[in-house]
Amino acid sequence: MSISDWFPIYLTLKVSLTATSLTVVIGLGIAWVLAKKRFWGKNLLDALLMQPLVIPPTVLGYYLLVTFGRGAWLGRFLEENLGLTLIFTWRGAVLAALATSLPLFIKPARAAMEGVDPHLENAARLLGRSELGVFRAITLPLAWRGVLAGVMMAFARSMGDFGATLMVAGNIPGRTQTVSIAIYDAMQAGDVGVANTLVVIMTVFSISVLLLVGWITAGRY
Amino acid sequence: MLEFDLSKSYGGYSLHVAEQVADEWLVLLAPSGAGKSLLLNLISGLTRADGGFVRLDGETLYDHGLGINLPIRRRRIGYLFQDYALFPHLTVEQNIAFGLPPGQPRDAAVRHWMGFFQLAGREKSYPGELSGGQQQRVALARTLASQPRLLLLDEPFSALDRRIREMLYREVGQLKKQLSLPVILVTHDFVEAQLLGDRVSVLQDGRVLESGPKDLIFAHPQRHETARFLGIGNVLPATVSVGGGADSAADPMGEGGIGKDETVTVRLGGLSFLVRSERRFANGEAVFLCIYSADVRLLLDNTRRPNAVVATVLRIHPQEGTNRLTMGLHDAGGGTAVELETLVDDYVLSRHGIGTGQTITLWLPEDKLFLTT
Repeated sequence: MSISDWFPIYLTLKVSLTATSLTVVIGLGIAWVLAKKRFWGKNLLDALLMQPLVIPPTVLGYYLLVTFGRGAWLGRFLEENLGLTLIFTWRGAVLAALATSLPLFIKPARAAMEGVDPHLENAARLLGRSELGVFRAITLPLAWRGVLAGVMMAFARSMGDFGATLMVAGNIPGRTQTVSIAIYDAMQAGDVGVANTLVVIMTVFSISVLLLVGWITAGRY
Repeated sequence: MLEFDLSKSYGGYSLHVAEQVADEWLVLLAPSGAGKSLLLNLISGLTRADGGFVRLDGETLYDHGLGINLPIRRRRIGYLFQDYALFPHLTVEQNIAFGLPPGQPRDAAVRHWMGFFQLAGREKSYPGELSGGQQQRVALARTLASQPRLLLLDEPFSALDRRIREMLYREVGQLKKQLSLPVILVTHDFVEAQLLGDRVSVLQDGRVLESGPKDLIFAHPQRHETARFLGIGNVLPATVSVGGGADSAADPMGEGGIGKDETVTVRLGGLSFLVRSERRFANGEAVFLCIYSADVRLLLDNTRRPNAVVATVLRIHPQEGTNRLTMGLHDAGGGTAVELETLVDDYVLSRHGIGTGQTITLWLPEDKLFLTT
């Protein structure tokens, strides 16, 4: 494999790490709200957030295109005010990875937070802690296994996205070509050696992540 | 000083309780489901009330009318949960230090409370490694270290076995002497109310049935529900035959008679009993004749006295050196429809060879009997 053949691995790691970081920041808040708050429309919000798990990735990609594309209000706003172009850039791949991995993070994180005894959180409030203080001192430390499992799942998912990434970021070698797309490209070009190497790397990585998640979530206080 | 008047209703259940608690221990005595924990949650703000107010040391914590609802963290209320709610991921000393007010020297406060509750040496232990009694002490230490202005104790001893519970009663009794703040202890155990309360309120179905100084409530409850709840062994439905006082007919409800010592005659299963009462009753009024099991005496020499009745031993339940005897009182027709309980020591039982089926004379002293409505 040439140096340029390794670029998809570099890009995939960059996209996954960025997307996972964003997933954690956004997902922790959402998971906490879904786990601890009662409000009108909660089930609908939950259903919407879980959509990326069930709709075809190309459909998700389409939604992202029409929302963040240059023709869309939001896409124009981001480009004109923040200079942020998402479509057909590596940031677009981050957006696609974020959308697909967010529900995978929220699900275990929410379940873990729901499992934290409300008595403990109330005890912390009575001992003078603010809501953020309760979250940091009690909820998160007691839900960390579920949260970490969510991080791992989100990271693994954002490493492997194909459909949504292709729709939003395209397939530009050296710019937006991630490992999944590079494998497809290599197979199309008959470059079985590159495809095999990338497939083995991805498979080993995915199995490792799942083993790690299993190991982490097995322990109990 | 804590003052509150709180109401809450949901799903057909409603609670309305108003109390004033000075620097004293108020025991809320109630059966399960009477709304004890709910009331503590309303006071602390964990559950929002439908109406009313909570004032603590002159500060309004909650006032429905004024729209005031102070966040829980600013109320400075110490709340000891039934399950202690110790943080399982923190050590004993981290748990105790959790609620220390800012600026308070951590180590000194932790050492003080660990010493007070005999926890020295367990600083680095996690709650899961402690016995139930130790967990309870850590929870108390953590609550007190936060320097609360009010202490709420939700059935704090119910999960402990008797030996540990009795040890903790002593420790909490010591603590009581040192604390000067309002304390509300909720329990269904009248022994706890007797040991730790200054004042007792009996709660039923979300309402205060009766409230007063502990000694008065235990000596002369006004209502039969209270009497039963205080562990008074004999609470028997009876009818007043002579209400007491010359003017009882003119004052049938007896309001004017409070504070006087009246002799009231009541009928129970065809038998008549004389009762000393502070109030008069109307002739024919339905009442409950009450007497503690321990106050029912055995007349083994068969001397004749007022309130002496003949009874048959129906059942004997041994309990720690003494025996609870269920007696059937002989009525005029020779039946034993009315049952009465009395306590008889092992020694007396064996010395006089008392057994089931035996006939004995019982004496219900006039000054030990009392009437409730």
